[in-house]
Amino acid sequence: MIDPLPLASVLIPSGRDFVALRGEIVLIVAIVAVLLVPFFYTRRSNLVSGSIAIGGVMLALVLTFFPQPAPGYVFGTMGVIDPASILWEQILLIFMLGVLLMWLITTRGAIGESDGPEFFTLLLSSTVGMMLMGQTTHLLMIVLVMEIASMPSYILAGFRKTRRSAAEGALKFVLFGAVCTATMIYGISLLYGTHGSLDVIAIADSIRSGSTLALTTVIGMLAVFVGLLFKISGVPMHFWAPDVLEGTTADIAAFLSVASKGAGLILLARLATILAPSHESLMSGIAITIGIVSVASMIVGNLGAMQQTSLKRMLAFSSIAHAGYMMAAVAMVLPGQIDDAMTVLGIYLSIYLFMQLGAFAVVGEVEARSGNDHVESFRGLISLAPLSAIGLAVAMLSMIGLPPFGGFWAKLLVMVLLAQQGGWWWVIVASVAINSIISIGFYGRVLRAMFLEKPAADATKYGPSAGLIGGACALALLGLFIFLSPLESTSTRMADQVRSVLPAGK
Amino acid sequence: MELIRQNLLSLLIFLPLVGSIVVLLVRDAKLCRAIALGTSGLVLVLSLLLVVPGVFDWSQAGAYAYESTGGVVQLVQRIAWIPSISAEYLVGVDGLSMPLVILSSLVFVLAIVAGWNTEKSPGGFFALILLLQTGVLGSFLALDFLLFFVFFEVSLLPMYFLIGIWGGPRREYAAIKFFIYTFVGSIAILIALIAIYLATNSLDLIALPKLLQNSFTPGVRATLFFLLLGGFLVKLPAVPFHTWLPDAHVEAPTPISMILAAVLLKLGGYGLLRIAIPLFSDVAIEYWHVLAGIGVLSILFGAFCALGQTDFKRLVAYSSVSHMGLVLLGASMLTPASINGAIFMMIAHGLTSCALFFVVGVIYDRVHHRDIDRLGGLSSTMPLYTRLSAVMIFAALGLPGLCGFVGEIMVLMGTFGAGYGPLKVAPTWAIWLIACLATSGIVLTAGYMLWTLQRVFLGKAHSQTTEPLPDLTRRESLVLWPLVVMAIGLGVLPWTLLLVFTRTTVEAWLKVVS
Repeated sequence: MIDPLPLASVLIPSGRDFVALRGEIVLIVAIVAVLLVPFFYTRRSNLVSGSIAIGGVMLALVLTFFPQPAPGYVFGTMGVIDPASILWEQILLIFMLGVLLMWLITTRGAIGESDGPEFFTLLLSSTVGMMLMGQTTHLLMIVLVMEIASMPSYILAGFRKTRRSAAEGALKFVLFGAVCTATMIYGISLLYGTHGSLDVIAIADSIRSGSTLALTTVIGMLAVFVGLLFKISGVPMHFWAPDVLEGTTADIAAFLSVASKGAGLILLARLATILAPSHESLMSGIAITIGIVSVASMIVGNLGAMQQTSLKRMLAFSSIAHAGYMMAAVAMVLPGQIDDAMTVLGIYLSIYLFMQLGAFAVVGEVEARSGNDHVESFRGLISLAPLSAIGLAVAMLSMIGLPPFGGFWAKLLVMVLLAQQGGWWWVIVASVAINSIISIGFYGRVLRAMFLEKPAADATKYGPSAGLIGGACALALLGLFIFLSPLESTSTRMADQVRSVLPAGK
Repeated sequence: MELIRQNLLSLLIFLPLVGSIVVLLVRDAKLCRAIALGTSGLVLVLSLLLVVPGVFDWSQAGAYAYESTGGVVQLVQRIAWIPSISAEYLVGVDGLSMPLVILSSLVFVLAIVAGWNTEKSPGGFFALILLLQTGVLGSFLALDFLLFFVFFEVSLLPMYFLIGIWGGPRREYAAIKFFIYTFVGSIAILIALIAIYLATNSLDLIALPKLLQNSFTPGVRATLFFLLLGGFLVKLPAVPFHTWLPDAHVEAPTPISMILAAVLLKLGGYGLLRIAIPLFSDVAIEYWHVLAGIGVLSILFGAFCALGQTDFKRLVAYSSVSHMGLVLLGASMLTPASINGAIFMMIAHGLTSCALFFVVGVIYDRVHHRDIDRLGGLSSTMPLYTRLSAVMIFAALGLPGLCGFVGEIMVLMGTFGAGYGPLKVAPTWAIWLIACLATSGIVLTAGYMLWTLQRVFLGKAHSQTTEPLPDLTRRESLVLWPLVVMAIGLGVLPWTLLLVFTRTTVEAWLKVVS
């Protein structure tokens, strides 16, 4: 049975609860405003609604830097507010700002004349869902917010209505999503049936008090994991990613490859940190399962990217590989390493955001110019749009993990984290290393096309705005390499606080 | 002055970076190269400060430690970078790195002069060369393992683009091959780095040899040593990891070949001396036969391959493999003579290979091919070119009185005397066998070098070269003269010009190793 007392506090929320959700509230107001735009502007509605969306995201982002309520539950046990959720909000909102600017600068032409209001309604709704994914430990909420995040993104994936590939990708996305959500809900019902609660912390307590681990608990957790893997696009739930990303515009592709992944990973990390300490064999089981999935994702992602000629497809596979690297960090929810694992995840996500944003921004520019995102379209980009070429190159070199770019720290910290655990975890360290080498194969092809080959005869120079976002992201990646410490301390604080919401007795 | 002295090493490292950014911002091609030359010239002047008494003190014997504790490592600068993984910005200089720093500074100036007339986007070309210089000097001066690794990697990318964009017909293949080989090597180094860091919680290359003494089981120590060794042998390059080198050299433009041979290969040798051997000296002693064997194999294999080449540039590239094999042999023998010899050999090879690649470039500019069979008789039409080239060829083959001889003889003497050093464990017959094989490699070197001299410069002019070729221009002779002077100088005064700087450090280093 659902405990009546917390339910009451859900129904009668306090002021603190609303303060905690101020970012989401701002975005919801922005959504309503965007919906009203067509009534006032019949022309230029795209630009107006886009501006409102940018304004809303900026305001929400600024608000996250103001003092927050003390860490703890909000709305009964439905939500959690802590530095981890705030850091995730900041990462997500900075990223959304980048995506919206990318739309403004390059991919504006990709959506229909008056489709703007719908487009931004969907985008912001999905964002709200993803923000909430970072701040809940309640299984009911998890299902709800994941659906809030997913539903709009299904439509966004098919937003280029005239494209066959977009329709195909979107259909695949919906079917996959439906199956995964259904599986997850099944798992949640098993967990609820076994432990009598939907609050993950209560479930962890219940596991701790019992001596043996029920089979239904394990199956339930695996099913929830499947649902999360769908969002993370980790193997074996990754099949939608390449098709969806190829079919959609660059901005939505970037959105799906970072925001969706990050939200899933934060949620996975939160659940794993709470559940793992509750039982000895559960802990090793979670660590090993995530570890195996992470290695599989790295390998499938990098090998899959090898054969791609479409850049968005290539980046989709590479993002599967990156999901693997990040999950490898999440796998370290073992004693004495939880803090470090969360720190590394926070750092990796912050750096990953700029790599993907920069890469997709440039891909979007080239696609807008040449009509496709094939490697051939990138030939001689250095002479056509130098800043774009450098931006994409830096993003890719950073994804390989070369210094002096942020991606080096991201991979190094994951490797150090796993090596600290020692033993068989060195296999994953080696896997990260070997996969980095493999990834040169396909990134190298793009670098070669951009820098070593001559542009097509009829190619013309890009406009002055080309490469603005790519260049900015390159600068950010360079900056994050030199000044890692501030980011690290932010991220460490997040790790400390994640533990503060852990059940007592840990 | 004191301010410059304190920040000298950081200036050396980051001045080229600043120059590189300025070059990128400047549109005018002529201004670009002037700025590039000015920057690298300033770096050369600053690096020469290291031989000024009072700036760098090489006479005092000391331990393999920092100056502040009476050690040989000087001009140390230490700034915390990422405290949580004890990464520091830690630079310092001692006798191991100091000659290489000066060599690199000189070679970069010469390379920029050699590439003076680059037509294809000169801005990018010179900017990348300066960026490369930052990576190289940073690697030589960094004493934090992670910092070293970062600079080591930073030197990788500019080279990829320099070969890939400005190279010959198969440049893309050569560039990616270079990139992948080196990257695989550096990943091996990175894994060893992580293990070392986790065991000692330190990345300080000077402190690590002591800290690591009692860490790890013998098996793990051996694994880590071979990971490091593999990484550096790729860069050196030693047989069987050398196959990227001929391709890279053949495709790279002349100035880049000069830098690649004279400086980048030294990163491998330097890495062995600074990192792989001192950190795991017991393994290096136990597996001395592996190191020495690879060294001798490289000497002989490189020499035989060089004998078979008809492409002038490929020939010089294989001679590099052979010469760097001597460096590896010297490093593995762990006697004062052999270590000093290995360092000397690196400098000598830096001068000769730099010069020889330029010599190839000069003739390529004139006849647009490098086929030895279609060259010949250049001495009649290009007398100055022939004279200077001949000096450098003799220096490379080890004629007494020139720089190559000193390095070779020291390494060989060190090898014959290795049984009195830390390699007491090794059977005498094995050491003698290796020494004899290495010596026979010298004969081969003389063979292919003299044969080349004969085929290219002497005899009758080839029938296809109908017009008399112009002799060296003033710019070209400006590149060759300093190298010739240095080669003769080092051959005549090896002690005063080089060994006096390395001697104390090598003594201290050997105490740590044995």
